[in-house]
Amino acid sequence: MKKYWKLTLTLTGIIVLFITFTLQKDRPIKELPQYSFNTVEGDSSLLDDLQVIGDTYDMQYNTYTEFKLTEQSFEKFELLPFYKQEAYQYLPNAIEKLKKEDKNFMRQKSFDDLYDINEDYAAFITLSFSGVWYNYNELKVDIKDRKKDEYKEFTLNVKEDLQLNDITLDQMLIVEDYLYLTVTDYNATEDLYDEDIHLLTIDMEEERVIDSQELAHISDDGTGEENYEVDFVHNEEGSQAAMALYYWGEHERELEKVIYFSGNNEKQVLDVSEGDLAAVADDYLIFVNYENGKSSVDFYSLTEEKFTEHIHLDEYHFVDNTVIEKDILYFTAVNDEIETKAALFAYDLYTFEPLYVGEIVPSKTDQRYAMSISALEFIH
Amino acid sequence: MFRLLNFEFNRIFKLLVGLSIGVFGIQLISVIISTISYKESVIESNLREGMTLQEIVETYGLFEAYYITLNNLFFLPVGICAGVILFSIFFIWYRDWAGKNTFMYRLMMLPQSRMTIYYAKLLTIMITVLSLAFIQYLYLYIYAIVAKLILPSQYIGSLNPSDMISQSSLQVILAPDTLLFISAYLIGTLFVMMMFTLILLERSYKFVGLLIGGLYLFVIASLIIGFIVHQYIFNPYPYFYKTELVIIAILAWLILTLITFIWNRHLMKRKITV
Repeated sequence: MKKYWKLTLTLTGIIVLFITFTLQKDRPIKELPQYSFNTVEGDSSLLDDLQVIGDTYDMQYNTYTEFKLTEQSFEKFELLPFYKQEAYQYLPNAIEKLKKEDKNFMRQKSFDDLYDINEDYAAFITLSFSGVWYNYNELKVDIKDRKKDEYKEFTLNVKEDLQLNDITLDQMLIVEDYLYLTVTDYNATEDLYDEDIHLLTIDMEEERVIDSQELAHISDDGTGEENYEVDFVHNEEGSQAAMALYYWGEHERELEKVIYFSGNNEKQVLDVSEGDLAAVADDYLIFVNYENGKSSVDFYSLTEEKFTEHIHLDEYHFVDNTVIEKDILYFTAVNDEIETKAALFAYDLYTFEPLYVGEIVPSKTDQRYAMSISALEFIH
Repeated sequence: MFRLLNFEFNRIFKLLVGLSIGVFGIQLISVIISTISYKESVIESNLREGMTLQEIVETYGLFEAYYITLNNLFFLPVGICAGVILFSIFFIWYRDWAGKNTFMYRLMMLPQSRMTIYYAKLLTIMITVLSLAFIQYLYLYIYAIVAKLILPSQYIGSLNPSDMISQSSLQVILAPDTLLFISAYLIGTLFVMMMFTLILLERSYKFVGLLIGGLYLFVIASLIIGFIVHQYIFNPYPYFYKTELVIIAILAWLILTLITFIWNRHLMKRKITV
């Protein structure tokens, strides 16, 4: 045995260090807290199909991971085997579902691209790619009709059709057979920098842009101090939607325009100038507001064309991640700016009464750990 | 088998020790340079300018794991080791043919399967590679201690070796994912086997063998490069899903390992001469 000492020692060393390496490699992520629901009041069965996507980080050591929380389970993204990490973070549930439904349609689609998925359609829009570079005035539209199980792929040349030269894609959504897309067209000269934000209406049947509307114009010296931001929301069926146009001044974000989309390419500009557009549900557009340290959820009635209902929150602020499921509005809020504590709410959309209030509680209460929630999703 | 492996390993052991010491020496200098540089340029110069500890930490951040591997000198010995290992793959065979006494003749005459020689050489290379990889891991703990000895504790963040790996190119030799780690070394083993094919072909058919071996490696390299180009370069996003890639990689590995192994076995048993 003595003459084998070098080999024995080396093999033992390899085995010991491999075990140590395997046990230690995930330690920083494992040390991050786990989270669970703590029901304060209401019916916890409302959480049965709900999953919360968020991230947790150690502010002292800069360790970070996304997490997925359901009532039954908790998992950290960074601890998943590499082949389950299809992107650098959890894919939205709509994308995951579509991947299972039609693997080939979803091939080479990224959730970094513009996309929208509803019960009838799934559409992805990218700038067309030559194999080497992107063409900034040609769009590639990929559509799947989920009901008929048919595909459609076409390109749109916005330079020829709309005289747009150099565009970036901002937001999109589908309402019935129409696809709405906002793009920013750049025109830079030596000392002036022009940006125009356009809303394009694409008829998916005719495969062409049927309308182009200028939403906003920026002309500055290229410092980017003023800016616009577009946000779209729609219901699950894809039968109604809304768009909010925000103006970014020096520090504040102001709601400048709200357009409501219903079927048959009908658009209606609404007289709303406060809050952040959060969701659309039958007769209401839902906005969230944060003013003077108080947060509220405000319901704009589409029939009465005014705000009619409000939910006021006392302890929690920064309402986010609004989701509507079976006529129940779910949303999250946090207790302070560093988001050490988050809460989940569910409200009945007919009575506006709370059905569930719960906290998302960390397993460690150390102040160095923080969390934020990025999405609420229903898995069914 | 174990005796022959031990014999081969003893022949390479001094090289392994030499490389380990060299890696430690050069990397230690690199870590000391990074740490002293942080101490002088971040801590001392800002303290002289009147900043408080809190302000320095908020502005520049703590001395974290990635500082350890920040200096380019850190990866120089890793590259040298890779080169030496590549050289060893050839050296481990050719030295047995070289010299006055053709040692390979004695090895071939041993009353056991000729494949034992092959296994012993293959395992020796792989044990050497793994030893260097894990010695590197062990050294990371020592570098963390060195940094803690040089810097005041208030400026030190996480110096966890896992962070040093995940935040640097060390991931290539110590993949943080267990399956990826095992895969990397299985692919490494296949690479060594392919190099052995080239050597055995050259030893069996001389220049013609070298050409055949070169062609074999060229075809495989072209297939792999072609696949990577198709997957990542001419498409904005990869064509295959990761789960599909795992299956493709496993199948490709199995097929290539089987072909290479059967070919090597044939060459060892029937063709190779002294």
